[in-house]
Order: sequence, then structure tokens, then C-alpha cells
Amino acid sequence: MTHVRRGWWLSAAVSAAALLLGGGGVRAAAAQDAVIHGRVASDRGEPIPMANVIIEELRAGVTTGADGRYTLSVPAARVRGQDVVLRVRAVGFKPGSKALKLIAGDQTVDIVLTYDVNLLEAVVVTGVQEATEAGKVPFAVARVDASQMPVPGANPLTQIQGKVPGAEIVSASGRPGAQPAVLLRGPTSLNGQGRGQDPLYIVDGIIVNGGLPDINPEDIDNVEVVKGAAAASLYGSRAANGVINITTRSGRRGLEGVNFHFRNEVGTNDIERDFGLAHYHALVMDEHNQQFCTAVTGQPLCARTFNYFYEQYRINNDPGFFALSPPNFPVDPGATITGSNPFATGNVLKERFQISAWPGPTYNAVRQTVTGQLYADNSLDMTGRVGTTQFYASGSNLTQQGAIRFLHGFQRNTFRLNVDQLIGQAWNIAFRSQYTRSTQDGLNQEDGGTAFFRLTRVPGIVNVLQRDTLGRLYIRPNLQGGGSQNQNPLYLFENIERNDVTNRFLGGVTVQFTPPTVNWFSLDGSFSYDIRRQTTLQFLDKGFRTTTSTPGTNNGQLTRASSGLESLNGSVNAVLRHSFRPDLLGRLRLSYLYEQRTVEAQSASGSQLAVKGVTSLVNTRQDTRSTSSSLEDVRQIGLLAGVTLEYKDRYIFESLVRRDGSSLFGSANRWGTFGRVSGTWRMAREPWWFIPQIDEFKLRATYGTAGRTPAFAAQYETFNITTGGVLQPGTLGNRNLKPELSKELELGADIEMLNRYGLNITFARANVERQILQAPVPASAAFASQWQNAGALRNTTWEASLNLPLIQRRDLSWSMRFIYDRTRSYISRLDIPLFFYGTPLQGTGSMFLARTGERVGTFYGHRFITGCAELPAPFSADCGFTGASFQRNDDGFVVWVGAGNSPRDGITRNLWETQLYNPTGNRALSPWGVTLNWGVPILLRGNDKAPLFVALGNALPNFHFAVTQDITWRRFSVYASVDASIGQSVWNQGFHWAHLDFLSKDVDQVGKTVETAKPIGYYWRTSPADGFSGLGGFYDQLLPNNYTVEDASYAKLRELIFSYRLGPISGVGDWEVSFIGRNLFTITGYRGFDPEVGVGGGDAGTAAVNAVDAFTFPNLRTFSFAVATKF
Amino acid sequence: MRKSFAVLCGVLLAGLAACQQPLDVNNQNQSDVDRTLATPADLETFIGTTYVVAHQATLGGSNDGLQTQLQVMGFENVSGLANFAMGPRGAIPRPPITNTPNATGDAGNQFDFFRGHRAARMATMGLAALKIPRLGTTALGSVGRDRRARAFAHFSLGVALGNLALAYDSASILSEFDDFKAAIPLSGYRAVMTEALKHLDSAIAIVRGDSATNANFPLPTTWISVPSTVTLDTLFFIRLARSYRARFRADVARTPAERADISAGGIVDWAKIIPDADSGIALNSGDLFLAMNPNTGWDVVWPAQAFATGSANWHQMSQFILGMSDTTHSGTVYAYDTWLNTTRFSRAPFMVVTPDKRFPQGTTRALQIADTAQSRSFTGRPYWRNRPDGEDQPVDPFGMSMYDFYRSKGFNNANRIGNYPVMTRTEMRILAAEGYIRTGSFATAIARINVSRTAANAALPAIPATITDTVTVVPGGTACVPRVPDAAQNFRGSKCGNLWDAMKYEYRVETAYCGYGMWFFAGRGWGDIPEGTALNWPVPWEELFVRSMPIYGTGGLGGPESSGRGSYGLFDGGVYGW
Repeated sequence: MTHVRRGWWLSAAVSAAALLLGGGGVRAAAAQDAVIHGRVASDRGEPIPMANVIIEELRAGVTTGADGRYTLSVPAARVRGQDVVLRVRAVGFKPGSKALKLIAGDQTVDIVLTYDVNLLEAVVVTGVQEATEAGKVPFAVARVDASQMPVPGANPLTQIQGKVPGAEIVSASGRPGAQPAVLLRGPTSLNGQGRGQDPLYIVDGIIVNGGLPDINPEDIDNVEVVKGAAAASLYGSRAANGVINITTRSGRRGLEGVNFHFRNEVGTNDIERDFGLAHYHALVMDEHNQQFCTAVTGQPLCARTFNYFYEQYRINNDPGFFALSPPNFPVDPGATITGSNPFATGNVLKERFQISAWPGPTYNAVRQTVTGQLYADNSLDMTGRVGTTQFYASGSNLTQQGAIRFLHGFQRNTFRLNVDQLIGQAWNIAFRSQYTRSTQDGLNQEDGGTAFFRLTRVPGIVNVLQRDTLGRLYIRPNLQGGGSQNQNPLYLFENIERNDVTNRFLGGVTVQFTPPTVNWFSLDGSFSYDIRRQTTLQFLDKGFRTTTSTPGTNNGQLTRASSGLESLNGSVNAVLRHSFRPDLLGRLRLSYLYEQRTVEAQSASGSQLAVKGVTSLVNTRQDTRSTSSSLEDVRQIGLLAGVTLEYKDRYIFESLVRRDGSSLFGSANRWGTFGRVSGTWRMAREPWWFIPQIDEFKLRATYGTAGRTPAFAAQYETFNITTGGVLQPGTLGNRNLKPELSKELELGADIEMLNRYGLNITFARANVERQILQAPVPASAAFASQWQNAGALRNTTWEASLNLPLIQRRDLSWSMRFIYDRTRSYISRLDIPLFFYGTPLQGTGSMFLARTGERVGTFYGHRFITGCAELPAPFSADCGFTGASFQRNDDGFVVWVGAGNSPRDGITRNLWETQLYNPTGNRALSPWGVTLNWGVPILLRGNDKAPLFVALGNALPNFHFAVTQDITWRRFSVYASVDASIGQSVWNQGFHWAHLDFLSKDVDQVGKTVETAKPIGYYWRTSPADGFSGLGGFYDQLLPNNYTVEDASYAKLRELIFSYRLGPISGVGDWEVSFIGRNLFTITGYRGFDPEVGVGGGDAGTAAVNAVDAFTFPNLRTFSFAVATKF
Repeated sequence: MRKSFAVLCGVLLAGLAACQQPLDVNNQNQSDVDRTLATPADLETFIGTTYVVAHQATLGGSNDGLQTQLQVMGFENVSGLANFAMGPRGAIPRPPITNTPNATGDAGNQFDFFRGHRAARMATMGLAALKIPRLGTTALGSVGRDRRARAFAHFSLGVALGNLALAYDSASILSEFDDFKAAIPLSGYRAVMTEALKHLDSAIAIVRGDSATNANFPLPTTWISVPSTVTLDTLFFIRLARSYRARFRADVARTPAERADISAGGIVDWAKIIPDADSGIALNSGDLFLAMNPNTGWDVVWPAQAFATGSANWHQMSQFILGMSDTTHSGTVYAYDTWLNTTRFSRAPFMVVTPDKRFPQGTTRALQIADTAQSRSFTGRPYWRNRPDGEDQPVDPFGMSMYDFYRSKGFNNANRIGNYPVMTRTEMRILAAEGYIRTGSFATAIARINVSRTAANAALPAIPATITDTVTVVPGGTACVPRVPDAAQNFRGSKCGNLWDAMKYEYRVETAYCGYGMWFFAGRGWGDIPEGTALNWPVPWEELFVRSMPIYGTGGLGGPESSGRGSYGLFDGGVYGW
């Protein structure tokens, strides 16, 4: 492993200072000069280039060359035989020093530096008032540098998954180009509508608004993560969710000249796991089990039969735009139970077992849909220094086609140019720029997820790749009932043309003014600009097929849309320093910041095309056209003052106050104040410190506040322009609306033992007050609601990281790193009525409950009882023992079996068709007075007989942990990262809803015994007691229940890379080859595609809370091979 | 150096001084009240949208309204699906409306309550704004124009409050004198209805005999989206307002006792209903259709589902109601009697063979299916279809049948674009007939009942004008229509209906899917809904929370504001429950 050096900010500053102070130390030595030369090397013997070698007393310094060697000359006039200290600093290493006597002539001083494995010397720039050594920072800043990201991700956020304690990064969708959801120390808002819950993203000082996948991860030098309000106070009203600060590479660490780095990675994507589709069926067939029975009016069951494959051909091969009607099944356990005798439904549900094999070949639609596709990532970068100009330039091309047949995924081209220019002795200009162009064909090509929904509705007999004589995929290969859900999902993938093109430019310039003659003042100003434009085309050509006649779709649809985001921010910062005494330093920082951003979007669509293949909107019929647009303009101003006092290098006190004005606040509260106080005590530096094995023991405490701005429209009184131009009151304006205010106390300790082993522990408690919630208003006001500051959340977090560099030798190194975090988020106060919330997806709108004391993310739904105590008296006493009327079955659910029976007697004693019949609602006869079906799970009910809504599990994990292993042996290196999320639940909606059609594999009874087999009704709808026609089965309703809100704990082998360093080939370059895997393996009991799943948006505004497995693009697994070289 | 520092301080001070103005940003995406009512034309347009908003509070705008619940509770529809609370609200025995957060159907409860108030509030906002002269001494440019707008606002306000009084036990009485954003106290449904009727009175009074106002008629069809063949003149407007008055006065009753109150000054004043019904749209050119088009805001969301092709799990008709049409009998046992005399969960749908041509004709399912392939126009026949048996869907056997309502089937085939009935002449005729029966004018009542009963698309024998009571059975002998469950047989058999039953029968057949909760609102006053059915909805829990009032529910067996046993045996031990 090559360790990329850290802390280039400090390095550069020190280097520059050394050069300035020394008046240019690298010069020809005169005869009387003192000339000190030597070699700076690591404790593994590797030379350390770009190390700064300084004699502070003389303000003289030089930088080591590529071989680690240096030569420092001191003019004879300054040589008096005095004692001096030669100090050496290098990024990624602990400082070193040697005392020597300064005499004329040559002397050799070699210095060995030890690796700063715990990054205590690394320079932190995020959240602090001025670039500061990590060891002095009074709060937790997680820093992930390039050495910890040996596996380039498709976007920057996936690269830091499992590397930052307290950061929940959820790749909720596997769609190429998708951005993961991020929560730092838990959710800070109960309602994130229009705002999300993401942290503030900064790239090279530029505040960026989404679109992180536009950034090429290989351009990243390091990522700093500030998780809580205490640390993020510096960023004011937008920082309550924390800050992720990405710093890209620069030439500041480069030696004179130019170095190139080239990397090529080629591989394939697929999907690790399957969705459990049923393999068998319960349809009625003829006596040979070859032909299916059809319903014929007036004729007995099975009077006529048909061949499934022929009927598939017949209804799909019609030249028209839609399939013909399939035959009716007499008993159709599809979306519905239909047939010539539907009135015997109860018997059908109790009599039929899903054990029939399909005639002929069978298929797995998931495996037909998932197909390995290309993953390719090429990059070339150039780092160099020419005189006082340092630069980094790169170009890259990423192709991530995904793993879904017919989809082509995400392609991204990036170009970056970073230039640092020193002008004279006082001015330093840093210019950062990036241009990205990307294309994506996903999004609605899955038809808003319905394609994946339909994928869970494909029976085993269906070949979704079957084409008709015109070469079209069968549009309705599934003959059973269920209407449009039987549409072939692959037809959508193949025939919806979707193309999103994004162009983005990020640019910024920072000018630093450091007067060479004054060390008490410095000034810098920055300006940055971010523009992102996206255009969208979605096209269904004329002739698009559907399962039934749908003229608006069959004749084509077209949508063209564009959206843009333009933001700029500028700041001016002044730092004043003063030494009150030699060991007491003070700093004052003053800043002014301005930010402006505009978000706009337009969309036009129409249908019923005049001609085929023309994607102009004029091709649509005029009366089908619709348009929409939106425009949001946001402005913010910040004023900041901060003071830092540093005493004896071990007591550090800091405070700051920031005054923020925002156009997003209510007009009566345009300004808010945020701030923090913090302290650091480096106890191990005390003279009395008595544990020499512990060389760093830092205690830190910070209390700070930060805010979250409201969504754009929240403050305004709004009349919505509804369909037909009808104006209706929307939200009642609130001129007093304030930002959410997070008050966080963070306490922590950073410990280093034996100069090697590092341990960081942090406790944080945040009260996020003034929750911005949609409060109901009286109906008489006509407005639907009003955004109000009306509640509080409390997040309590424990974080720990342990760094274990077990072996650190030249030929062999082995490091392990553990991280752990645990966050609990509770609603500590609610000033408005309790409410249910969720996402706009069907069935998910009320899956969470908001009330005082409730843990955020708790799923609510129906519960099938699992314990006897859940039955009302006296039935609870007749439960749980052999012979009892109620017993627990082999699925763990309490069921009614009748006295003397067992749950295993259903078939052998012909009990499945019996009921605890109670039409009069007599509570003495049956629990809650409802009729119960034999052996079928029982819903927990309330006094009014209605099923209760009870807590089922929580979407947020109990804790995370991750382990990384980094081993290098000679030319071989291995890096592996395992990331685990424990204790969270996911509502497996795909699994749940597939029960309605008996297409979840657990409806299959093949392999079960007569004692354990269950009829199809066991899995189907709830019972007539609730107005439904089922028996009370697991499908129940559309809403969550405790069968399908399931534990989704997992551990993932997130990254694995084997590398071998070839070295130069034919004397050229320094070659390395690697085998790489991403998301290789998941250990979980979860029954869906991937336990790492969720849906964005909704009330919570983040997929990290909305843990619903609702037909999203499954996560991708990648295998690849990479070649890299540098020269 | 000092200069640089001074520059920095200057910048900071400039930022402080200039900071307020850059932070004022307009919302370009949505209007506020000032921009909404910025010009006289805007104000007039705003008032012109109040009726469509009132419509959206009942039939349009969302599946999540009360209409789905009203229909299953009144037997106008049967569905076992969870969607929009249909299954749970239609369950037997009737569950209560618990009115708790996330409880079944609470979205619909909140939707109609909120939307009804919104429509009323928009009307009051318009009325208040009309007081402010914007063009000379008038708000809209002329006295007549002002008065037309005022009349329309009163009309919409009356309709909105009237619908609230039908569905809810309490609502806010809104007026143009309110602080619009304040919580107006809740009043009982009687007081709300009284106020609704006053506004309808005001609308009529402004228009009637005012030449200045009349000069501004007909109304724009964006105000009331009628088909192009209808002119929104003053006559139409007044008749429509009177029709609403008749409907509201009759249907506001919660119980048979309330509906039977015929004295002036009581909750139901039949002496006023009769002239309003007789002068309502019954005497006008036709039923009130609204020209629906989702793209214009005039939409009927839910009822369109009933006309959708495909699975019957969204909609079928109750065999209990349809059986009243059936005349099939073997010997003396009618199929309906057999059905009534079968235990609840053993019942199976049966063929309805009836001389009433509004039902598919034929003695076999195949024949009836063939007969269903008739005209799909609203005035055509049959009104119901016998669906292909492959589309049958199971629900509670009490509701399961092989029949769907198919009148206006054509409406659904054009993406909900077309004319949809929201008030029929028959409704007015039957309301008048009920009034005449209740006031002893039997012949006049019979004449009105016979209009639809003997029409070509029904062809039932006329009820003789000689009947002067509500005991004598309708003509037809063994083929009499309707038949009704017989209390003397403990509701396990049926008998020929009388004039009263015939009146209710015509009402049901002719008003199905033709308005807001037609069968439910009438049924509760007739005592024809199952025991324990909530008589009205409670104030939604969200509203109660805002007002710091305790949550309460309605309905359920023995529960508050629930129906009694009624006339057709819809109770445990009666038609169902053994």
C-alpha cells in the first residue's frame, strides 16, 4: 500500500513559511556556511519526500526531494556554534527533531519519522476556525484520506461508507448514478420535506447542493466529516445535519516537475441476491397436470382446458398495441380469487396448497432480468509544480451500466483543473474547477418502480424474454388475473427511452494574503460558483404495448424537462493572532459570507403522437399537453467572529458566534444566532503525566448550536394553482418561522498508546428544537396547514473508533480499524397533535407515528400475535400448552386450533376448514368476538375489535460497526472493509404485497410435511371480520404488519481489493494490478433483495429513515480488474 | 496592513447594512391572497371557482373522500377491498367510526370536512372582497356584476355548508364577517343546515326579479360546468338552488323520527320541500349533469371506478337490495326469500329475474349478460349489468352478487371526460312524492312515483292512483316490484312492498351513483341502514386536536349516533346474524 500523505494545507503553509523565513534555504553553500544535509525516512525505511526541515530559531528551512534527502545551508554570518534544533515535519508522519550544534562546514543529520497512524498530526480544516492539527481540535472530525479509500467508488459517499463512526450512509438504490442517503448522528428533523436530511456538502470550499455523483472520487484527497451541531456551528443555519467537506487533490505536495497517474478498471456489475419468487402454483389443472382449466359460463369446473403456452402466444402475438384477453381461470390465486364458483372462496383458500409444478420449462424472472453489465472506470491525472505554480489536472470516464437487462446505466466524464499560484511573498491564489457531463438512462425507465413491482408478480411458468413473431417481447406473458401488473417488466426496460443529461461546472478561487512582515494578521477571500443543468427526455413511441387498450399510452408519450441549479458563495475572512505571552497564543477570526442559489425546473409532456419516432413535443396531440415549472431563489448572509486561546499547547479554548440571515426564515425572523464554546485538554502533555505508554490523552468538550433552514415555501401563504387553474388555499403563511435549532453537547477522548494504537470515543447529545412541522389549522381557515416550529428531537450518540496498526515493518504491515456507533433519536416534544407519517408510496403514508416520547423511525402496523398474553382473557389462559385451544405454530404465531388439537393437525384431522364461528360478536366465544379460522394467524385487536396499530420495529439501526483490514506484504496488498448495521427493520413491501398473488416463495409448500403445510388462505387477506374475504392471512392489507416488517440486520463485505505492484515495466512507470470487489457478500436473514434499502422523499425526506423495500433498483455488486501506473 | 484591515471592516459593515433587502425573496411558484385577488377579474374568477371546490369536497378531487364510505354504508356499493375504507365501513356488524389517528377511513373524514370548509371559506372571502369598491363604486364594474357574483358566492356557501351538515354532526358556520384565519366555533348540524338554507335563500333572492343581475346571466360554464346544451340562466340557477334546498331539508334528518317531522319549524319541513322539489330541476329541461374533465378541475374520481371494466372487487351491488326487484319463485318460495332464509355466511348470489327493465332481462346468466350489452347512455337501459362470471369477486356473502351498476358506463371510457349526473329529476320527484305521502296527498305522490316506474326503460305497472295509504301493496301480484323483507317472518321472507316501499325503490334505482351519498343520507332517514351504522361522521380528530377538544367517535352497535334496527331487519337476528 502506498500511503498518500495527509495534511497538505499545513504542509504547504509550513513549507511556504520555511522558504520565506529562510529566504530560500536551497542555495549554493559558501565556504563558511554551515551545511546540514541528510535523509528523512520513515520508520519503515522509506524515503519521505516533501518533508519540511526547519531550524526555527534561524527561520531557515528546506524541503526534502524525492529521495528524502535535503541540504540546508545557513549563511556564515549566522553561524556561531550555537545549539539549535532541527525539526522535521511531513504529512502523514509525526514530527521529528534533532538537537545539533551549528558549526561551519558540512554535517549529516538523518532523521526517522514515525507514521502518524492515528492522524493526530493531520491538519483539519472542517469546522475549525483555522487549519488545525487534529490533536488540538476540540471536537470529533472524522477524516478519511485517500489511503483509506483504495477502492474508488462510483461516487464520493460510497467511498466513506463504513469508515466514519456516526455516519449512516445508505445506498438505498442501486441505480447507477444514484446518491446514497446520509444521516450523521441520526435524523435532525422529523419532517424533511423539500429539504432532505443530508449534511451540508462542501467541495473545495464550494457549498454544493446535491449531485455528489458528479464528483470523480479519484480526484479526492480527503474527506472530513463533522457530524454534530457542536462542531458544525461554524457553518451556521445550514449545518445542523453536519458537514461533509471534500478536498480534491492539488499540486501542493508535488515536487518540481510533472507526474502522471493512469488507471484503468474494467469489470462487471450484478446483483448479489434474489427476490424469493414462488416456484409452484395452486391453479386448477386437468388430471394430467398439463392443461389449465378455464371458466366457462354454465359449464362445470374444468369442462374446458387450455395450454398455457399457446394462450400466451395467442394473446401476445396480436399485431395490435395491446394484448388480447386471456382465458379466465376458475380459481385464480392471482391478484384476486375469481372463478365460476367464487362464492366458495373460503373453501378455496382453505383447501388449496401451493404445490403444483408448472408444466414444461420454468424460469426465474429475476435471474432473467439481472444480467452482468459493464463497469469501466478510466482516469488520467497530472500533478506538478513549475516554479511557484502547482497544479493538478485530471480527466476520467466512468461507465456503470448496472445489472438490469436493457438498461445502460450511468456514464460520466469529468475534467478537473486545480491550480495554486504563489505571487510574491504575500499572495497565494488557489483555483479549483471541475466540469462534468453525465448521462443516465434509469429513473423512470423503471416506470417509477412499477417494473420492479411487476418483477415480483411473475410466476415460474413465464419466460419474460419470450418474443412474438414481430420480435416484440410478450407484453402479457402472465395469464392470471391482476390486470396491468401482469405487464412484462422487461418490456418497459426495453421500450421506454429515457435519457438524462447533466452538465455541471464547479469552480472556485481563494485568495490568501499573508503579509511576510507581519505574523499577526492574514486575510483570505473566496468566491465559488456551481451550476448544474439537467435535461430529460422520456419517450414511449407510438405502438407502445400494454396489457389492455390504453390509447394514451399505446399512441405514445413524450416528456421533455430541464432543471437547473445555480449557486454562488463568497466569503472574506480575517485572522488576527497575538501572543499574550510565550505560551499563550490567541486568535481572532472575523468572517463575512454570502450565498445565493437559484433552483428552477420546467417540464412539458404530451401523448398521442402523430407519427412514430419523432420526439418533438409538436408530435403530441395538443389537448394532451401539460406543462409545469418552478423557481426558487435563496439568499443567505453570515457574519462570524471567533476566538481561540491556546495555552502551553495543551489547554485550548475556543468560542465563536455566527449571525445568519436567510431568505428562508420567516420575514419577522430573518436572522438567527448560532455559536459554540469548546475546550481541549491534552492531558498526556502535563508534566505530571504518569503513564508513559499513553502518549496522547486528549479530553475534549464542545457545546454548540447550528440550524436547519426551512423549505423554500414554508414561510409563505400559498394558494395552489390546481387543475383547471382553480386557485385554492394551500398553506397558511408563517412570518415567524425560525430555523430548526440543534443544541449539541459533545464530549470525547482521543487516546494514543505506544505511539501506535489509537482510540477515539465520543458521546454527543443533541436537542433539535423548533422542529419545522406541518401543523393542522382549523378547517374554517381554509388553508390545509401551516409550517410551525412545533417540537423537538433528541439524539444521543456514542461513537468509537479503534486503530490497530498491528505490524508495521518494511516488508509487512497489517492494520485493522474498527468503528462503532449507536444513535437513538426520540421525539422529546410535540406541540401539535400526534400524527402518522411516511412516504407518498401506496400503503406507506402512515407507517411512522410522531408523538412525544416516540423513537423516530418506529414502524406502526398490524400485529399477528405471537404470545399468549396478547390474547384477551379468558383465552390467554387456554393457550400455549399441549391440548390448549390456542397454540403457537411452527412460524411462531399463536393460532386457534381447538381444544385437544395441535397446529400440526390441520391436514391429518381435516381441520383447516373449521372456524371458531362467531357471527354475533360474542366476546365469550372468541377473542374480541371475531370469527377465527383454524390455524390462521390472529390479529391483535383493541376493545372495538379493530386491529390495533402497534410498534413493529425501527427503521434506524441499534448500532453500526465496521472493520477494515489493510495488509501489505512486499508487493502484495489486501484491503477489505466489512460494514455492519444491526437491529434495524425494513418493511419488506415487495415480499408483503406478493402474498396477495401467492408469488412469495414462502407460499410454496413443496418440501413441507402434512404437519407443517399451510393452505393459500394462510398467506392471503384478512378476514370478513374486517370486511375482507380472506382468512386473516399475512397479506392482511396494504399496510405493514409484524410478518413483513422484518429484521434487516446485515454485515456486508463492502470493499475488497487485492493488489500487486509490478514496478516499472521496461523501465517505464510504476505499475500495479488489482482485483476489486464491491458489495461482494451480505450476511443477513432479510428476505428481500438487499437489507440496505429505502425510499427517498416523503415526510422524513431521507431513504435512511424510510426503510421500505418498495420495488427499488437493487444494489449492485461489482467485480473488476484494474491496472494503474504512474510516471 | 492597516488599510487591509480597514477594507475588511468596511466590507463587514456594508454587509450588515445591506443584509435585509437581499433576504426578501418572492415565492414565484404559488400565489398569496393579495395576488390571488389582485384585480376585479381575479376576484370574479375566484368566486366563480367556489362551486367546483364545493364539488371537489364531495365527489371530485380524491378517492379519499367520504363518498366511498357513504356508498358502502348505504348499500349503494359493495366492496371488500381495504382501499378507501370500503371493506371496513361495509362490514357487518357495523364497526364504529373510531376517529383516531390513522384509523380506518380517517383520511376521507378529514378530506370532506376540510374541503367543505374550504369551499365555504372561499365563498366568504369572495363576499367580503365584493364589499370593497375597486372600479368606481363597485367591486367588479357594475352593480349587476357584483350582485351576480354575490348570488353565486351565497349559492356555493349554501351548498358547501349544506353538504357539511349532511355528513357531519358539527361544523363551523362561516361568514364574510369572520377573521378568516381564526378557528370559528363548531355548531351542530341543524344550525349549520339552517345557515346553509339561508345562503341558498339569499342566492335566490338576489337573482330573482333583479334585472341588473339577470343581465349578467347566463353564468360562465366555468362556474357550473354544464353540458353545452344547458344555459345557465337565472331560471336554471334558481331551480338548482331550490333543488339543493329540497335535498338538504330532507336528507339532513338522521333518523326516521327526524325525517318524519312534517311540522313547519322542525328539522325537516316537508311543506317547504314539496314546492322546492316541484320547482327544482324536475320541471327544468333535464337532470343536472356536470361536464366533467379532470383537466378543468371538474372531476368525479371515485364513482368512475364503479364503471371501470375488470374485476368486481372494487364494485358490485348488494344482493340484499337487488333482491327487492326479483320475482323469481318456485311455487311460493322466492329466490329472495331463500336468500333471506339462509344463514349469513351460507348465502350465495342468485339471479334477479324481474320485469323491471332497468335490470338485465332474461332467466339465465347468459341471457342477462347479453342483455347488458345495451346502450351505455344514462337514459338507456339496463342500469345494472350481469357481469361475466369470470369477473365475479367474493366479498361478504351479504353483499355479494353478480351485478354491477353500469349506468353511464361510457363515462369511464373517456378518461373521466363526459357528462356525469349529480342531481336527477327523479330525485326531486321522489322527494316531492315523499312529502305528498307524508302530508296525505297520495294521488299526487303516486303520479310522481309512476313517472319513472312506468317509463319505457322500467315498464313496471303503474301504481293505481286510488291507493290512499301506505299499507296497500303495489300491483303485480306474484311479480310485484318491489318485494321487501317481511317483519312478520322475522325478515326471513319477503312480501310485496307498498306505496312507501315503491317510493323508496324508485329513489334507489334512479339515484344510484347520481350524487353525494344518495342512498346513505336518505336511508338513515328511512331507517334502511344496518343497525349500528354511524348516522354521521364525527368532527375529524385533527380538527379536534387543533381546538383542544376531546376525540370522539360515532356508530357501532350501541355506540353514539348510530342507527337503530330500522325497517328492513338489518340487525343481528333479523336479516343477518344467525
